[in-house]
Amino acid sequence: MDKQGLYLGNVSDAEAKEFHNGFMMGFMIWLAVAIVAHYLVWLWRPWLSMKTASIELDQAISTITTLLT
Amino acid sequence: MALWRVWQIFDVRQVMIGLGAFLFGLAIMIHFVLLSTDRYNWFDGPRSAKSSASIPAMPK
Repeated sequence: MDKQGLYLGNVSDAEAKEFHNGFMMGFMIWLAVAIVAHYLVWLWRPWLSMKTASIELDQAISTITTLLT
Repeated sequence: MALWRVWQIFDVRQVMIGLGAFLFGLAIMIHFVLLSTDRYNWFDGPRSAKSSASIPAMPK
C-alpha cells in the first residue's frame, strides 16, 4: 500500500511500532525519575507554596529591622 | 491514535539527537539557574553574610 505526503517510506510498519514501544518505555522511565526527583525537591524546598513568599518577607522584615536599629 | 506512525514521518536518528541535545541543554540551564539562587543553591547555600545572619529557621 503506497502512502503519500509526509511519509518517508524508509521504516516499515512493524519497525515503526517496535521503535515506538521502546521509545514509550524509555520515556515513561525518564518521566518517573523526573517526577520522583521533583517530589523530593518539593519536600526539601517547595517553590510555589506561600512558604516561599513568607521566607522573603521574613528576610525583608529582618533586614529593615537591622537597618533601623 | 496510531502515534507510532510519527516514526514514518520523522527520521528516528534526527529526533533522538535533537531530543538529546535539547533536553540536555534545558536541564543544564535549569540546574545553573537554581545554583545561582540563594534558596535553591544546594552546594553552600546563601552567599551574602546578611541573609545567613538574619534568615529565620527553614519551615519543614
